Amino acid sequence: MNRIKYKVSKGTEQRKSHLRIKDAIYDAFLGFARNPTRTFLAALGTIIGVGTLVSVSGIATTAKQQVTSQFNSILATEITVSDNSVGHIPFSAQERVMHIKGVAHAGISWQLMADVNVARDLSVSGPQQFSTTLPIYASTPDGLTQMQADIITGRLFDKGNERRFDRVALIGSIAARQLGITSVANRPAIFINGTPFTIIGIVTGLFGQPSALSSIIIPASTGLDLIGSPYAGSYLGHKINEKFITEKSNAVLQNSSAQEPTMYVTTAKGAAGVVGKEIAYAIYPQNVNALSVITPPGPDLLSNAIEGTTATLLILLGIVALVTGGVVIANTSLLSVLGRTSEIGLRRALGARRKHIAVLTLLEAGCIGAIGGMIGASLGVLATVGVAATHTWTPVLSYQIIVMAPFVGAIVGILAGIYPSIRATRIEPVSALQH
Amino acid sequence: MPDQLVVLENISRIYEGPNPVNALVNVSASIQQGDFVSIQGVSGSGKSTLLNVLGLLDRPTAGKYILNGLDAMHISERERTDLRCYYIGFVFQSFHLLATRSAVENVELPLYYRGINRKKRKESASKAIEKVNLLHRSASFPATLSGGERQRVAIARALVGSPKLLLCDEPTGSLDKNSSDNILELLEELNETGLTVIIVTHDSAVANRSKRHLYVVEGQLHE
Repeated sequence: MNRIKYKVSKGTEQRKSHLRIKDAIYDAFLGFARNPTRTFLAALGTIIGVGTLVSVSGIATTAKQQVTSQFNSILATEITVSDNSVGHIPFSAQERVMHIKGVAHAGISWQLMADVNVARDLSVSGPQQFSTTLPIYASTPDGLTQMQADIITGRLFDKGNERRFDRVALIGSIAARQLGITSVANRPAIFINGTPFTIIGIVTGLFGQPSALSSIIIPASTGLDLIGSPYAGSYLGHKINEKFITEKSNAVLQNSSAQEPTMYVTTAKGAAGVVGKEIAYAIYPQNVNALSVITPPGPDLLSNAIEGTTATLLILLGIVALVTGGVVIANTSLLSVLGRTSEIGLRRALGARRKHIAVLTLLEAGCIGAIGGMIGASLGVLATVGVAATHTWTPVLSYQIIVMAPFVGAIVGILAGIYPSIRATRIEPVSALQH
Repeated sequence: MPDQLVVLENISRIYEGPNPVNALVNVSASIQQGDFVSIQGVSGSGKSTLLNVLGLLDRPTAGKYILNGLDAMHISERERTDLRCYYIGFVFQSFHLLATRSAVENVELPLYYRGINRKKRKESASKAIEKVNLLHRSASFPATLSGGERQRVAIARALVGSPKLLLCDEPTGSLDKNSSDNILELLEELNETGLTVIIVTHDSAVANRSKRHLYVVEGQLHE
């Protein structure tokens, strides 16, 4: 028999099974809306995935903002000025720099001598005992602030000590242990190369110059008076030690400093960049390249650097979270398909094509993913706000991530639904209806 | 409209495997438009296989099957789906209603695959459910319906697309006698309107309500 040309027709109208996308969406909606438990379990993966993504993003962004502001308020206000081969820091540099708008503090310090014989005097005029070698630092009173010197006992030297070239000294906490000094109440004396000094305080901290913990710190003017300029009679003696330069030149030559002076400048927040540019003009107007001025990275640079690190972390965590969510959706969708074999068989018997089954399965997975994305985004926002509130931070969250979350969830859902939908299309109605 | 709605010529269905099973052997029959036919047989005789072949759910191994003048043998899976969609209604023993859809939503289901919009689907489903005297339960979910009511919903679902052929696989198998009688009366009424009804059953009392009796014995059809 010849094959009869296939055409199911009603009059001239071609009659084929077809499903409008609008109806498919409504059918899928009924599918997940009427099965809240199944929908929730299926969406759980996306909720966790998107929730993790949003909360990690939010917390990281919030923390980054916090770190940036902390950094700005501390490190981003510190400028370091040091010598280079062209010029030296004049002693007057501190006073000049203080005139620059935006400068809060400025101080100079340097290591005066390395490994000098220091002996402790146990009696008012008795023999010297407990002799040891220690480095000697010279610092202005502001330099002590810049070095972040914390007093354990006694007091720091001040501008009065500096003006009078007092033979007073601070001793680092490690050096104090070496010399057996625990208190300054009796004004203990030490001898630096035979010159007596009164210890007025024991200091610790010194985060700006940690090696000073095991040293003696004397006023800069006293250092100049006693030892001379670290540059053997050059600019450093501009004012105070001018009269001493000549007298002490021999000593200077014999006791050249172990380290060239460094000036630390603290600026107001956000002023470091501008101040850094002006410092060289203030100190060396004739040659702005004479000194090395190191300014902290600007807020933008810092922010970008932190953001770069955060972004990498986010991408990794986000991928892990979303893959986890996808696997859960795929697993739940597959279980759902297997559990709905009879329904799929029925639909096929009633006229659904394989592609209609695939569309239904994918739409359900996509919608569940989108719902999961919305819930996850909401939970992520709550988590971010919660963490920020706990630390009294200001929560910072990109709105793009929140807006994109349902779409990301839908995409993950659809991708995860591909395999289950393929499995669904392979279900034969005749066997499915026997369930 | 051809008088012969279904023509089977030497239909065979062999299930391949280590021990091949001849479920249907050279089955030939013709069924007129408006017939009310029962197919009887014991378990494993091949009556369900015959119903699956008639309903285009299963493909015969050999033979010729003409449905409403169309060759239903040498067509693609997609074309078989189209024929099922427009020509055939199914009623199953276990109803196969979707538990999360109301009665009327279950009845609507076949119309999704005809591209009919929601409003018309609702109208058609309501008419079909009215035809089986269950309009008052149209918003009810299957779990709240009795067995007889569920089968009525299933019949309404089969009727909603105005099929030419209604295939019923043990339609009263899960029902008590009273509900069975009601369902059979409904099928008789539908047949009187011109609908071709084929019932597969092992129950002689059910088969006796039909106008024509076919028997399947070891894969062979007898009248």
